[in-house]
Amino acid sequence: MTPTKHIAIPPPPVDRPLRVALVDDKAGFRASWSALIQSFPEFNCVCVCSSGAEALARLPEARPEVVLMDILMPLMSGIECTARLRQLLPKVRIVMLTEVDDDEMVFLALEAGADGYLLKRIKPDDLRTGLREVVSGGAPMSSGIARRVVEFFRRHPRSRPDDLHLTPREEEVLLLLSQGYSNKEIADRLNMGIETVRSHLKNVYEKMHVRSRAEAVARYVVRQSSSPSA
Amino acid sequence: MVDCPAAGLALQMGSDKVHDVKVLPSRPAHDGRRAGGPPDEGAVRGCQRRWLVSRWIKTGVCLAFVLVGMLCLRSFAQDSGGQVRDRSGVSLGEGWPVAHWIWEAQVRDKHPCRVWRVVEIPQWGRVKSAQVRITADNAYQLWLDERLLGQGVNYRFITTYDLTAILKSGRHVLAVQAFNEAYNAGVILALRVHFDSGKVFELVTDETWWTVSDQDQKWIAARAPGRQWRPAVIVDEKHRIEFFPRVLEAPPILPVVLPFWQTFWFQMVMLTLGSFVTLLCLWLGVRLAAQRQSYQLLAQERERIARDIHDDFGARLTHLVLRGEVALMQLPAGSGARVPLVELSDAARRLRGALDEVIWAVSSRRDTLAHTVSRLCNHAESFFKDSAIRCRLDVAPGLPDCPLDLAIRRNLMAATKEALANSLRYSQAREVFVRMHADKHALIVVLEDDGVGFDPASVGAGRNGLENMALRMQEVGGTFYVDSSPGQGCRVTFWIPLRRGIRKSIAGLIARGSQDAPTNESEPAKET
Repeated sequence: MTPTKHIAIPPPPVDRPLRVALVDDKAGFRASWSALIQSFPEFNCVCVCSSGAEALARLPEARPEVVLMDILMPLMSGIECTARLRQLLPKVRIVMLTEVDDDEMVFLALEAGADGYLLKRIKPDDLRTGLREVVSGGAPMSSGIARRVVEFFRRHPRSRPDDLHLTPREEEVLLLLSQGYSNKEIADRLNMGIETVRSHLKNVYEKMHVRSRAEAVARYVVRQSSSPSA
Repeated sequence: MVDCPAAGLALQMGSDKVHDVKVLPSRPAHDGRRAGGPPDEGAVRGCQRRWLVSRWIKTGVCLAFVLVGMLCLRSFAQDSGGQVRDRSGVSLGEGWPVAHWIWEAQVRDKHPCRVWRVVEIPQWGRVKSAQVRITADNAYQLWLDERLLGQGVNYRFITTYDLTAILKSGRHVLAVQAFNEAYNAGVILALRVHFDSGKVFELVTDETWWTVSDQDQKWIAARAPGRQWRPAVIVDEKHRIEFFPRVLEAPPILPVVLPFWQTFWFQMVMLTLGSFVTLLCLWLGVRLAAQRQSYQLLAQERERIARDIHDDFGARLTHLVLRGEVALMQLPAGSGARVPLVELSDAARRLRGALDEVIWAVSSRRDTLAHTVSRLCNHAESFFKDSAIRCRLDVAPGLPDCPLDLAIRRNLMAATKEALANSLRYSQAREVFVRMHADKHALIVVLEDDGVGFDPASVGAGRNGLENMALRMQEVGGTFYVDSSPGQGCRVTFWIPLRRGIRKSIAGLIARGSQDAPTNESEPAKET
């Protein structure tokens, strides 16, 4: 598949709420999250799963557009579940919900195929805007993650001619991002629109997913027994 | 001895006696011839006289045979080992005792003979002079206490070895290997020791020496005669040579001067030192292993505690925040309970953030430079997020992924927070730069702002947390600089040494001596 297919998600229709699925092993969280999501008119929580295995079994049926995925779950971590789900549902948008702001774990999730991440202690308004941004094709990326993405592409040089690599422009955007510049500042500095910056970041995500997909799946299947902790 | 073969005396003597006795049987033959005359009275008396004569002759013959038999037996007995008759001895010079030529019982051509003896030098005072004289037919080598004193290849020369410098009272071993070319053989030796008390100790070669069996390889170093060894045989008479030897003086034999590293004491000291060092190394190794194990246990325990805090406290607190938000959402707009509920929610959210810091500090999985750097960046970004100051990060690519002590992590984090807080409070800057890079030895963190700056000299001690930052750097063995002047912004530099694991462990071991405190990792995390 080509990355462009991914990007072309249509903006959410006003008449129909977006289908959201939730994967979390803690019952209390599931109830609270689904209540919060249901309170937003543009989102509809269609599926609530208590484990990665359940998600893999039920989500193809439920056909959500967005999946909110907990990272730390017993048996199968959210990262592994993301890697597997990406194969089943290539077009779904996966947003990680993490307890701790840990660059390494977040990067692993992004590498496995996640489209963004949110902290669990997020305010409801921020959750709403965050979800909207992901769905509308945004790619939230902090400076720490941007630095890791740059390192990722440098550490994995192209092994095959058809391997994707960063364009100079994309690398420029990533470097500025890793230095703490906001999307708007980057747009000003590079004389481009803010939407262009976002599309560059989105392409970076896609390239990373494509490149790491096969290897990530293999890795997380092997790592199954030792799921990452706090 | 080749040129002067001596005839056996016993054989000569024996043959002489036998010759004497053989004269006797001729008498009866003579008498028998006379008995052939006519018988008369005189003839009767003649018969009687003849009978008497024949009795005498018979008795004489018997006596003669007995005598000859005894002589034969005696000479045979002497040939097969008796030494009495050979004893005459040879003086080895004016004032020297009489010594004997000795050899193995069997003299063989082209054959070495090895003789050996323990010498007990009595405690008669200080040894004033000690000499040994030796020669052998044909050649010899002489050892004293396993040390080769000299050798000679001509029995016409007697050699004197001066042992004054090396011979002391006590037990010694003299060993001689002599070599016989052909025919007769012998080795002769005399030892003379003068004491300052006036007494003289003498020792010569005689039957008290031992001949060493051919099989014995380590005979020179032997402490006692071997089981196969036989007493030496005196061969003076067999070795009756024209002995007008010339006496040679060998240069005095001096004690072996050992280089200092071969001396006994030096070797003992080195051995002791070596064993001590070996034991020390073993001890350190054991301690290191124990420390490493305790460190691992500590790391596991810290990780477990971090996980427990995260899974239990963290999850519940997050849930609390979430429940608050849901409750807030379900309240009707304009309700009086909204304000306290919002405050409650925010408080819980801040608490969750603080707990994150605790988890980060406790978790041993995050004891690395990479984690610390990303944590610092995240903190700096979120710290200035809601302020007018833009935070710029400049992190050198390819920072080494080395382990970092909890103490370093905690102090660096705290010092950085303090410096950033100062910038936020006082600098009125537009931008703050957080620069991080590392070389082989150290991590360097530079916090730079373009604010109003200040004069570091005019700032009182303890103000603005400058002293606090210096203390924090001191605690991890690092340094801290402030570079600022009014209107020129401010630059704070932290320099933190990155020590390698093993060196740090050994340094820790030595520093802590016998205490059993595992590492400074055991300090409780006071991060807030």
